[in-house]
Amino acid sequence: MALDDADLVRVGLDQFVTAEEGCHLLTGWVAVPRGARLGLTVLADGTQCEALHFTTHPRPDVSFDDPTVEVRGFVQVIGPPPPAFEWALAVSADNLAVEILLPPPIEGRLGELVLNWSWIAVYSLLRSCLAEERLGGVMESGESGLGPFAEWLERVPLLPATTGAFGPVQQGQALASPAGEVTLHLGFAGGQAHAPEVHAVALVPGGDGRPRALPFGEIILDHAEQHVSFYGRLAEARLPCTIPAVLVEIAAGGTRHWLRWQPERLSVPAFLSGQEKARIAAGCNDPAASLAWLRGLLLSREEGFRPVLAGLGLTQLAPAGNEPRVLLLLGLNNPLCARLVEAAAPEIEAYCTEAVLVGRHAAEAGQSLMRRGRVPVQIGPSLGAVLRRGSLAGSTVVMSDATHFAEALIEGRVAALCASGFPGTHLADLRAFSAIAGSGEAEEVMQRLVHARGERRGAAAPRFPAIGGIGGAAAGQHLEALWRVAAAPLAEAAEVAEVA
Amino acid sequence: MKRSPSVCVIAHAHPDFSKGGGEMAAYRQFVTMRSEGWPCWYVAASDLADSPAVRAQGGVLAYNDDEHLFGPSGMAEDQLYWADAGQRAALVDFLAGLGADVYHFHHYWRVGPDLILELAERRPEARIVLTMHEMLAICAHHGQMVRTKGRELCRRESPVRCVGCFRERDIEHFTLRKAYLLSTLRRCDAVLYPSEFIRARYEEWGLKPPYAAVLENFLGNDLMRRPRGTGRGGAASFGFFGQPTEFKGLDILLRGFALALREEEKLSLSIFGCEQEDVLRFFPALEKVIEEVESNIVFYGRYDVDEVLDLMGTVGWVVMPSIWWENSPVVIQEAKRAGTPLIVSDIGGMAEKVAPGVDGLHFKRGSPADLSRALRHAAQPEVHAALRASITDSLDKERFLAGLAEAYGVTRASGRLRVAVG
Repeated sequence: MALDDADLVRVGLDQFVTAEEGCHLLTGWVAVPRGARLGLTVLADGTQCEALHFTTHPRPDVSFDDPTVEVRGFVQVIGPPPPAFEWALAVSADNLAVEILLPPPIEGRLGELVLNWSWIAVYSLLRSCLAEERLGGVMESGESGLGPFAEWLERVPLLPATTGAFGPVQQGQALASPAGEVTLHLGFAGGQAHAPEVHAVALVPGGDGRPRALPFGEIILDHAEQHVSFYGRLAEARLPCTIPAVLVEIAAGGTRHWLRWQPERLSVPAFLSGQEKARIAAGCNDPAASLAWLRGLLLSREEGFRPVLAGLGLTQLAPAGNEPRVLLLLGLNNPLCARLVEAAAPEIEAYCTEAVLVGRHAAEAGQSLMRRGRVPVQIGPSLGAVLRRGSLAGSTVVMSDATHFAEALIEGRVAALCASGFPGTHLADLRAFSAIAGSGEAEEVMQRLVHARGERRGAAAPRFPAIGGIGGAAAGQHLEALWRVAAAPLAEAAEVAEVA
Repeated sequence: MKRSPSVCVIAHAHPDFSKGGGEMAAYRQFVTMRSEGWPCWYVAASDLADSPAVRAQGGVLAYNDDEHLFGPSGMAEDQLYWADAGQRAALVDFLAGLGADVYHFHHYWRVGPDLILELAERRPEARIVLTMHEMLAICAHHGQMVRTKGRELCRRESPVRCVGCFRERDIEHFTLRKAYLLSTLRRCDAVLYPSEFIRARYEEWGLKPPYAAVLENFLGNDLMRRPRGTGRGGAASFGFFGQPTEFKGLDILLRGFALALREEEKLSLSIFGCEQEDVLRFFPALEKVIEEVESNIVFYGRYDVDEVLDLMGTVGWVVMPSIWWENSPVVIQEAKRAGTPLIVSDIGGMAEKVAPGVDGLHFKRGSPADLSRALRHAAQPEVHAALRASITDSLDKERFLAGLAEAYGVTRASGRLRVAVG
């Protein structure tokens, strides 16, 4: 008996939908000879529609008695179709081909549809939406910031940073730094036929406050039979950005699992020093492997962040006489700072149009200036709090800390100090700087910058506190190297300004 | 039109309540200027005025004619500023309201450098003058520039060295302290130093005001009007005038005297200003030394300033064995006035004010053995006679007032001081 292709390729259509989220998609299943290479094309009045996303997945709900037949579910998203009277689907499986007529697409809501899909299909579509520019609009639909995937994501299990058994995972630990980085360390039971695989997508708050799913621009993986370490770094995040949750897909033992993982939020030094411990917790007890992992991570960081740091505006000095000129005085943590500011008040008023005071005794220090009423004063318990107000963007910012300002006062250099400000528009860079190479506090980085300015005057730059763990020394060197990249032009600029 | 300058003297204390050299000098200046017909006021810190009742009435207590007291409000050596800016402002209101041409501060302890700062801004047309009495701004160890451990002298301050003395504080603390004090004291138009020594210390510290001069404190009309002493004290009689404090070196004197006595039995020592119990309270280890010299030593207890010249006349030598630098000790001025030669430590203001071979003798600071040598040398009648003949007198009123006039930027005509006005 001769069989035509239609007997060998069977198609079941679930939906052909014009989704209100702004895409057109076709879902269903195909039964084809096992192992055949599958192709699906939607035709609009005979014209091929471009597939923007195509994925297949098992359909255990559809079965045939024939063991040579394989059933695969599919999801295909096509580009915007032209107006058409006739729709068709061309299916190919190796050298077999069939074409079936499709009903006209109906309107539907993708967010509802995906709830009934295989999670393989949902996650795959999510990743395509993040990777394919023309599907980017899908993610913008709805109010959640996560497009049609918001409700589905709610159903994905949410785990804390340190987790015990979950699916094939025996133990795991997730860490995050403010530089848009996460590491996931997972330990698996032995006897896996294939090394486990891990994919991840970051779930972060967007600028509008809504959550966003973002792909990692840089990924490092360390696979072993019983252990996987994953490092992911966001490509163009506005730093600081500590990733609050990660959507993770784990493939191990022939099954796939999804989870939302909430990493432990750490400063950069703690993030780096925590790698070894997290790997041990996940079952990797090889110190050499852990050191190699950390070195790879540090290399990636240095290559990735070096251009970012070199371009930070904090190293650029504002032209002299550029007003308004704001004195940003940090580290007012000693009760004597109130006396310092009072004694310097006439000079502050002579050279600056505003003062921003930061530190535990900033409020007391600001009293004298406020009482005199000649320059506006902002008080902040931390620089981060001041920066969040965003009120310095239009100013030239003169930065100093209590000790350096006191030294300038003693040496009669306050005028010179106040002459070397940087554009306030670049203050936002400070937080990025802190996220990449600081300990997490903007004030700490700013004080390093102050020290960097003074480095040419003979003062030693402050060193990072000792970082623990097997790679502590390497991590410390890495941070200092990043620091030097950012600080060198600043010290040169300060020197030039002082000479001028 | 020209008139005498009006001067408001602001001091850390009033001699009616304490008899320190600084407040004595300040008050004598006030009395002297007033006797010359200058309009002047004396405004002094006093705990008597540190009460809620006085604060409620502006914080200033009228005391005598043109004399006023204010509460220092808990100001201490390690807190050289006003805790309550409102209280300080009230005092500035009062001072500014006096309308003085010159505000002459004596010392800044209990006065507050921040008061100087605020007053200078309130009265920019007035002249701010400061007389230094010790080095509290430079050194947190009572302004003595003696290390806290042992009695090592400190020759130069730096925040790092200061942390060496005060381990509980940090470098930042001392940097901030210096910045505050130095930048505040820089607001003075003129600074008067009673000795070259203290001037050098302040200048090395960074204080370079528009006008600076060395002007010794004036002993006052009462003492300077009295005839120069013709003391009856013999060459072998020595006197100590002062308190047995940690830095005055009375322990050095007693040990040195005991050593000298072993070789020269006829020496005698009179201690004025304290009793034996006072000495033992400070220096319990001296009990055996005092027992050893008991028959050659007399403790006279406290004395009145008016008696000092007479008392100094009862001894052949005044010994000043301080282990700290001193500035311009009033005891030296008084001894010079009394015509009694001195034996002093060979450092700081003492070495400067007592020219060896003219006004007296020097010995190695802190060395009982060298002091013993000096005492025995001094006990020779010919040495004593020579120095009694050559010892110089204290600064007289004319030179003192001329020094003030220069510091105040006023002209001098017809023997009267005048300030240009209008």
